[in-house]
Amino acid sequence: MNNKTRNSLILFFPLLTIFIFGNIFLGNIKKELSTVQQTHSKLNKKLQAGKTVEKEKEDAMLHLEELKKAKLKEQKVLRKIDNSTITFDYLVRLSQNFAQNIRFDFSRSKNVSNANTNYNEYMITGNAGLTNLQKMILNLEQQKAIYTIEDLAIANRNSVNTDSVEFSLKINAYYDKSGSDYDKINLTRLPYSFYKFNYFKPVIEIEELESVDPSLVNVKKSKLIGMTHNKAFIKESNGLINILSMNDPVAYGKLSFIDPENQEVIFELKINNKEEIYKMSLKGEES
Amino acid sequence: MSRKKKFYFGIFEDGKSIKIAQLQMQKNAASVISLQKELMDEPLYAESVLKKKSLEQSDMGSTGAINLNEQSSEFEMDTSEDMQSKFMALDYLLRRFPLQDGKLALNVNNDKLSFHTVNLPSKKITRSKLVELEILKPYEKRDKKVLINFLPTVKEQTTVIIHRGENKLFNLLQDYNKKNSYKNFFYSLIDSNDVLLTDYLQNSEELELDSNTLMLYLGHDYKKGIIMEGKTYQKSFPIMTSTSSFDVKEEIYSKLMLMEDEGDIPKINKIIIAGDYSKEEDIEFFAEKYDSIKVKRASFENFPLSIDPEISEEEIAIFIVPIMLALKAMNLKNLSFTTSNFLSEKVIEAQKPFKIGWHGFLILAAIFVVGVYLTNSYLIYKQQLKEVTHKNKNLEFKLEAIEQDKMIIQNIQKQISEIEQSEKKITEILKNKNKWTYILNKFAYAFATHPQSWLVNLQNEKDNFSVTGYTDDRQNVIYFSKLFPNSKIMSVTSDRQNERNIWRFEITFSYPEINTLEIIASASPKTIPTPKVNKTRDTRNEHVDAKDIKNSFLLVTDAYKKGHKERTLQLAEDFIAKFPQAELALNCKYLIGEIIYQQGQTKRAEKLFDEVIETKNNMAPYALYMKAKLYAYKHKNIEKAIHLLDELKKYYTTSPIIPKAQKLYNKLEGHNE
Repeated sequence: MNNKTRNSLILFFPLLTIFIFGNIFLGNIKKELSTVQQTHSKLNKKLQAGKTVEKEKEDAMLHLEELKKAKLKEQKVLRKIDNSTITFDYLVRLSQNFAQNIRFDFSRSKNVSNANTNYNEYMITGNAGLTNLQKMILNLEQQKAIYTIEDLAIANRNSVNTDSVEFSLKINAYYDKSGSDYDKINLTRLPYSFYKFNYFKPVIEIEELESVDPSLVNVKKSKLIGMTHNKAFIKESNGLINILSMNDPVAYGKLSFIDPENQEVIFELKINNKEEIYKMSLKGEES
Repeated sequence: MSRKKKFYFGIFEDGKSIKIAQLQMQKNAASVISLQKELMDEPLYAESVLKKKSLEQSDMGSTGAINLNEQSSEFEMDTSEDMQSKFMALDYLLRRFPLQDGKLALNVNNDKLSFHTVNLPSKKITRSKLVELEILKPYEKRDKKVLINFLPTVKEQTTVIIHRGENKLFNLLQDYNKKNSYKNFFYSLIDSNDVLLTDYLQNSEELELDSNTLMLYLGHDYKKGIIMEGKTYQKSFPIMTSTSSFDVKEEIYSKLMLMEDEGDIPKINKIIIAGDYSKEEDIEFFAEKYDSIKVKRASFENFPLSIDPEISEEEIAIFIVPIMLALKAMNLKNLSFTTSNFLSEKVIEAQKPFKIGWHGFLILAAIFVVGVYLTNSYLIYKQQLKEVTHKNKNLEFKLEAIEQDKMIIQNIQKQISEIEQSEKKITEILKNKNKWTYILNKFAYAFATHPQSWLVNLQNEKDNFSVTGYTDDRQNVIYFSKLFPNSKIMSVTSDRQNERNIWRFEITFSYPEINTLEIIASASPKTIPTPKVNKTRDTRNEHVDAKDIKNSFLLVTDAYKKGHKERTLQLAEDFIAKFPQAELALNCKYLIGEIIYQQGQTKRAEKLFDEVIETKNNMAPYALYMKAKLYAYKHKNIEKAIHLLDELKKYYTTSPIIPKAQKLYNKLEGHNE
């Protein structure tokens, strides 16, 4: 074999090597390109699908904007916790800030907890100018903290000489563990537009047939609506609720005993010089 | 094969004698490995021997002429077996050397050469010139078998050495190679003995510038004298000896003397002897003959050549030609050699390791094409790959953004869901609750606009609420009952207190269908102007003759009903002047406003309507309606008119003017659009 043939043979090997490895390399690159193109195709499809997402995003953004607006408009917020201290503090603040410091009696009547809602029930009674009472009611209803007025009674015991009315409120204070801290719910000065007109003020004095002090509750015309270990909640026929403790006077007598176990209250009355023990029960029995 | 093991072989054919010198390169210097010789049964070039014999016989006056051609053809016709037997000694000698592991240099038979001196430098000598000088035959001009080399000669002359015919030693070595080795021998050099000896002299440092040196090479067959003038070749001459001569040295000496006498050779200053007749006695013989001339044996004293001390100087002198062959093949840097080689171009080319044939070029072209194709394809694919990868990255970036958007959407949806849940809970809690502000406000308005009425009690039941109150007008009870839905007048009883007839009433209502949250959201201090409550209520404490008021007002209304506008205006003005604090004074103001509006006194009319509207009198909705008309038709302020009608519809829902107001509203809305 001469050098030419040998050299040709030698050259043939690099040719073969270049051809084989080149093709393998090209094959790999083609494969890689194919993979990348497939990926491109998939990504394109995803992107096409993503365009819907883009639309969804736009909608969501719009929704988000609406949400933000809604948040701005958010008027009512659940509190994280509630107890009588918080609510009393809250009511005093409302009274001091918006209702010329109206006076009221305050008592917690019960607590309700279930899967959906938690609330405490409170009784508020008092005597106030109608405008201030309206302001108090407005703030209870419309401040951010959620209080509902479950029961309202306003009455004027027929006095032309006073602008004040008697009132009783049964309110529920709602709270939820997902709610906001009490400290973070600020009071806001609400715009009010009600007429400052006392429509409970009599134009003329109406003669009262009652022989007893009209400011005292006539238990015989009232109803026991609730009680705690030392308080009884008596609702008069005019809807006013009276919060009575032991020995508190009532028409013709006094509250002598509160029996939370039997859910009874006992009054000692003296009508027409005849002494009488009058029982009121939450079970509806009266004697 | 490593460089250290590379051998160089000088093979010298001299008639029947074959001498081989094996040299090796060691650290930039050559070393003699082996020197061996053999005598063949017959010389390789039998014809030359015969020719010589013929010459000898002719010289001796022999009678029988020898036919050279016949001898030659006889030799050529020898079978290969005969060749093998004839040159067994050569074969035997060659087997002792690893010829395949080295480079081979061999000599050409001197008888195949012809020497011609030309008065031209070697660079100017071409084949054409030689043809021109009749040294070459015209047909030899392109004959590649006719090989030409040059030997620079004194006086800027050139000795042209021409080799014709085949080199049998070379052919024989090739045959031997084919038979005994799978590997091809590498032939570096084929040179003439004269050139080799000249090269020896020029590298030996024996030559002096102003003296003539005679080199006597006395071999087995090859015997020649080479004269160097200074350091340059002058001429050479063969020394023909008789094979039958008993004293060759004497014969040589006498021939030299003859040549000297004839002036064929110049005066010699130094004689150097080499070849088979360079033994000690030979040197002494010539030294004795030429007592005034320095005679010495050829040696490699000044050559970069290491020689085994066991090798005698005589032996070195005998092997001077094969050693020079091997040295020239080595091409040592510190030795200079005449450029000459009788190896054919074909063999040289064929031995070049990187020589490429047409198929090689084809493969190279294929490599190039494949390389270009692959490179091009690679670049294209790479570019595509880069582009697609780049696109993919962009897409991935976009998709990532989309994924982030999705997460944002999820978060938003979660927040929305939480808020909706919270709102739902709050809405649920506040459902039908906290409507008291609205209810009380509506009562306030109702009682403010219906004087001589008041409440003594308001309380709620489970699904409704009830009020108890007094009024001096039974009509008011109906009005009050329409304030809230599903009202029931439970009782209306007459009473007389402080010499006044009054009515005690009790009404129950359902809670109004209003959304507490909407009320809270829409609450604005400017929605309702502050009523001047005292104004109407003040009349309660004044001792006014109600009958007088009533009669006076009846006069006004009677005139109005009869269409006496001027009289109505007069009576109404009188009424206002007489009973400025009376509730009906506001009614009179309204009537005045309505009439003067028709007369075009819009400014005053508007002022009167405003006064009525501010007091929330029962004529206030009418005043609002008239003011809206005034704005729509006189001031051309439709927007304001619509606003006034809106207010009217919102706060005076039970007013009889509402249908007319709605009609006007629809008309204006259409106009506005």
